[in-house]
Amino acid sequence: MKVIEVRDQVSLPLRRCFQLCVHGIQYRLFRSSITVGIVSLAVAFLMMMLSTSYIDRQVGADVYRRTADRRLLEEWVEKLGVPMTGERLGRKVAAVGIGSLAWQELRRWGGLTEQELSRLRSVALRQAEYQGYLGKLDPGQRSALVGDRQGQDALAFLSDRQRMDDFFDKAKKFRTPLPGEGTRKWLDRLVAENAETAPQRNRILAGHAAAVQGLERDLGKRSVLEMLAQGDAGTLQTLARHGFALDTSDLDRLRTEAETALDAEQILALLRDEEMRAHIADRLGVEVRDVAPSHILKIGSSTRGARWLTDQVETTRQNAVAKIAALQESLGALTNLLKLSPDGIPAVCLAALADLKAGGEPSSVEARQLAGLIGHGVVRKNIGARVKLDPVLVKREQVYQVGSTPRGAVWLIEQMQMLRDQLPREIRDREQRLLEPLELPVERIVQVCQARLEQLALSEKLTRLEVAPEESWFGFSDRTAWLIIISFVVCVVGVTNAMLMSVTERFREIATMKCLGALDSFIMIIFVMESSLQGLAGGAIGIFLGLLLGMTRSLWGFGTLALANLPLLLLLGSAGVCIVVGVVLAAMAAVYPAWVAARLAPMEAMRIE
Amino acid sequence: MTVAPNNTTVGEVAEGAERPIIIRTLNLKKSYQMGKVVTHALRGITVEILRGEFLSVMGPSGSGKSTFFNMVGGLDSPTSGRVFIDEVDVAQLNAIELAFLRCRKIGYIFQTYNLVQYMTALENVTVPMAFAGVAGDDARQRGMDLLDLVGLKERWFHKPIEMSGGQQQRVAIARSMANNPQILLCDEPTGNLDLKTGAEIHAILKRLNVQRGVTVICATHDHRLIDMSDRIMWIRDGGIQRLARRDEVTVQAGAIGGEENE
Repeated sequence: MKVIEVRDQVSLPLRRCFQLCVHGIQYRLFRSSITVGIVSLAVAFLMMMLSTSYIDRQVGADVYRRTADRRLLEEWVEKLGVPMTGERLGRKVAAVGIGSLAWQELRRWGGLTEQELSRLRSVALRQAEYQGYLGKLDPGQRSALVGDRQGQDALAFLSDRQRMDDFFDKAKKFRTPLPGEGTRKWLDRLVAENAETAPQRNRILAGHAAAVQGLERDLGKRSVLEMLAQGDAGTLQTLARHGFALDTSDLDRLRTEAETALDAEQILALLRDEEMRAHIADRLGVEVRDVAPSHILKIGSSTRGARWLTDQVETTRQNAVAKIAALQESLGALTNLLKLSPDGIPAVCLAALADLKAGGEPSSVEARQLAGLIGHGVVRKNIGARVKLDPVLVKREQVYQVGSTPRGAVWLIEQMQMLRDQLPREIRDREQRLLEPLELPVERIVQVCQARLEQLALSEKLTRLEVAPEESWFGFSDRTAWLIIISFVVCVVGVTNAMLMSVTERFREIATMKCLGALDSFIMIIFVMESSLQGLAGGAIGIFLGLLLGMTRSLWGFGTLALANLPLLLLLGSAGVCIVVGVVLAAMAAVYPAWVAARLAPMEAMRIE
Repeated sequence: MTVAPNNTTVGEVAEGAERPIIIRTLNLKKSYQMGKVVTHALRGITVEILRGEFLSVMGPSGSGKSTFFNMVGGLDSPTSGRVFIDEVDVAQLNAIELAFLRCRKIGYIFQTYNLVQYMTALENVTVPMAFAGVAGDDARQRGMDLLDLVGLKERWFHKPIEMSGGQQQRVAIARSMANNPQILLCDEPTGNLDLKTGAEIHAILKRLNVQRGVTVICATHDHRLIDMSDRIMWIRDGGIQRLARRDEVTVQAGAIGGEENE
């Protein structure tokens, strides 16, 4: 009779492992918190990077969309107002869609057939590839290949056999792959075709230049912007006459944008006036020389500010008008005074001095006009110099004193003649610089300022985006990707260390479990499971932290624009990725410690320290 | 299977004819390599342990007692020689079968109790049942019965830290009995306990031995245990110094103290 029969030990169902595992974690919360902490840091870093990268990308796309009209306007203003350069034509031809309106424009200007333009496009595309290749080289390499040539020149100079040989000898040594098929034949063909198509390109350029000129003639005094702001059927006709093809929906967009641009120009023109600048600087508490377009736009974007602007323009204007009137009056006075003979002036002056001494006012008109001379800075300064007084202290008495002697009278007359010659120019200057009245209604000012301010902010934000979205892994730069990988490695090492310590602490428990019939697999499972659970907790905390940090960073950089552009689905996806990463990192880190634990000999349970 | 000639002097086994052999060791040797020095922990032990027997193993520290225990309990493998548990060669078992053996056929009692600190008494007792695939109410019922057996039914929800050493050891005994093992291996179960508590533990072990027919192998320094034992084995320098029936020992009790060198 056999009492002991040996069979295979059953393995514990995962559910039981899980229960035992959770039971243990509750008891070892402190030790667990180390693993949780390490994992949460790594995950927080990843989550922060993911969320900022996604938010940045979204913001970038949004900004790009919002500024589309503005870009369209800039493009058209340039197209309608400035003759194209060869480089620009190349880029335009490479980017143009076959059969589009722009395509037809090019054909019309150059008088080309479909095939000719297609060939031109193919050359332009290959040319772009070639330029892209040059762009990828570092400056030293580039200079060795093409010197400091740019654009067309950088290609055209290769038409020389010797130079082409040289180019290939050097380029082969660089690690950057050659453009196109990478063969000499390809580049030879491109150079040849580029040279062949040059006359056609020049025809287009000439055609476009003629169109620009013709349009300018038609517009007369009006600017392109004004024409676009008008934006009616007549505009389309004018444009069509010169070969420009614009469809009505684009015209609508251009009209709105051009109107805004014109109005904004009018508002920004206020900055050219010294007095307005001073008022604005005063209102905002900045230095006059620091006053920038954004300041006036900021003031204008509130109703109160806009009203203030309008009022200021009005008072400034009135002041200026009054000043001009005063200048004209003093010009009249000068003319009157100059009619006096050299002897007349001492007489007037002496009489005036006597009047003053008697405690009264000078009685003659001439005397009062003479006193008016010190209102002119130059004269005041000259008189100050003559009587050896600080110009600030110069009063009418000094004028009369100077004028009371014959020599002084002659000197005064010289001064008055100089002034008479100067004043008309100053009046003309002031009239020219006279502010245009701001005729925009307050609501429009607010609207335009807000729109322009947003555009300014947007273009500034675009420069703040770190990485071009398409060129990277999850939108990370190489450096960020490395940092993340390093943080993972540090995390795994840290968790492994914490788990090894845990194994050392629990060796008696583990050995006892093995004496009680635990399989090696059970020990492995509970350790990996414990770590995974801690990874889960760490991941959750990390997501929260990372999101918080990432959002703070984005808010700091982009303000409410970031909130308006929360890519919720992507963030949710990132959170999912982060949880998985946290669990996987923790589980991976636990494999070695778990293996050590599983191999612990059961007889360790008997050991007594 | 041929049994090698028994070199060691073994006393006549009481009732040997009727009782089957449950553990048999054959020239069991164990040596440890420590640097260049080879330590011989066991130098060839051949012994037969009978079913239902209460065997006390005595010997000074470092005599090889613990090593012998590890071999017999299937916790360690010998350098040479064999251990048969119920005619099963332990060396032939793979890891999973060994786990099965430890789980259901042998109960272990440690000097340091080795209860899982974060579990209640009842949970500790049911751990081996879980490993044997018994769970739920069934396991709880059996766990409570076992705690009742050691007199701790009322304290089933206590954690080890809330219990005295004697109570902890009683829980450990209940745990060792969880899957009704045939063999109980006790490694100085009263080593950390005072005399009175030690006596209680001894009583429980004896009761299990008598009532349930469990084979108890008990390493000890406590001479009072000799009274309860069927046989006593003295180990010294890795070999069996003496193996005697209880009645033989009583006669020579005076001499034992001199031998022990405690």
